[in-house]
Amino acid sequence: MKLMDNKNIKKLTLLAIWTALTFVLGRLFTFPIPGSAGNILTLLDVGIYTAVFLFGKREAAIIGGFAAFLLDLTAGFSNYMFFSLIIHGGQGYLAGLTRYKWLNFLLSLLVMVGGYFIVGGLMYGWGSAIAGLWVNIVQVIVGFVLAKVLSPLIERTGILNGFRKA
Amino acid sequence: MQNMLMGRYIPGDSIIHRMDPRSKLLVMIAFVVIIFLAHDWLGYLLLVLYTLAGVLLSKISVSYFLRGLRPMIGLILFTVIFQMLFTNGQHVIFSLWFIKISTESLINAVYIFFRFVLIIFMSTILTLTTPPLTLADGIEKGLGPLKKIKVPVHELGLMLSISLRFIPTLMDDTTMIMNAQKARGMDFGEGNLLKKIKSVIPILIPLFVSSFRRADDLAVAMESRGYQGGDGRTKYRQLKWQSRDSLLVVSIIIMTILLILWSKVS
Repeated sequence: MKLMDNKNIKKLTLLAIWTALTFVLGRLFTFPIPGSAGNILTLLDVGIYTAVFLFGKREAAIIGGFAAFLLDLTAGFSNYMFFSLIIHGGQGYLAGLTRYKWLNFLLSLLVMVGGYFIVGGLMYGWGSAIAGLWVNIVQVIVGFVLAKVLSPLIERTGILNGFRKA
Repeated sequence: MQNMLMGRYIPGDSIIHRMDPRSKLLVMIAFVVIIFLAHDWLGYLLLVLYTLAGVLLSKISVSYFLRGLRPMIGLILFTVIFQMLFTNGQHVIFSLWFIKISTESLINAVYIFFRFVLIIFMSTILTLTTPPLTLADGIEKGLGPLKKIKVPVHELGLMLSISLRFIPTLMDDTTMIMNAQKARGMDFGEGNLLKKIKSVIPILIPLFVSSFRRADDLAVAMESRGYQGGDGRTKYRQLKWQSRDSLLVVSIIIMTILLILWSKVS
């Protein structure tokens, strides 16, 4: 039997811990926003966008999907969990799809905000969809900007040497 | 939150607790789909009875389910009021300026309310009777056929389990880093939204770095024990599909048929 080579194990654990980290960002770093009917701004997207900048689209898709899934599962939004898996996964993937950074950003913004809008609208009527719209837009923008600031700083620590876009 | 491996799981020995996570997941997803087949009170009554049967069979106090509604209350109220005000109907019973409440909009709002509550109850049954780790196993097993198209199902399942295991650890790390920065004179939660968000950067960088160190240690530990994934790997927790699981799946199929028949008849 062939042993798994060490690069794969390293990558597997790194992605798993990054997912946990993204979960923590979405769980502990929350900011209430007025006029959103119970929707809260979280830093979940920081984990997704840093993953795009430091790894790539597939890794970001896995991290985003799993972290959002676990977040909904444990925080009492289990009615949303499978949609979150797909929406945040798609957000991560699209955020690294093309060479054009702004196009990527717009695509990921669109799939996250539009995804929740459509799911909310179809499931619970368009009222609930509108309630989440504004928070989601701000959340994606905040996540993107923070990740943009953080990524070079994380890279500079050298902790990811040998991993980048392997 | 002390024990993420447990999530919102409440230990028990009911028939639903003992069911396979795969069958429960399947039924929950199917339920979210078939709820759209209900268009009148009888359809909703059927769905309410089905959900109620689930709640009773789980032998978990209803107060836990009501608590599950709590994070969604704001959204539910908003949606119900929105439906009431902005659905057009013919029999207007109340009207003031642009606000018109009709019998149709009222009924519509009640249906939306029930749809909300039923979907939340159904998913709450799943999370109250299934520990997240078992759920992760169930998903891994359920996605097994995707191995044929080269999806690394085993690795993804393992990742899910590892992140569940490390979430509490990273939460502790976060508190520790926050306290360390506070001891250096950092202020959190002061000022406007922009300032608040800016103030998290000095927490995030040490958090990222310490997490990557943990990942590195874990990789070394796995490697030195000769970890290998994929085929031929045995499991400590085994999932077994039993007759009660088949029964559960049959019950949701019967529900689907009933709802389709009823919407054809009426």
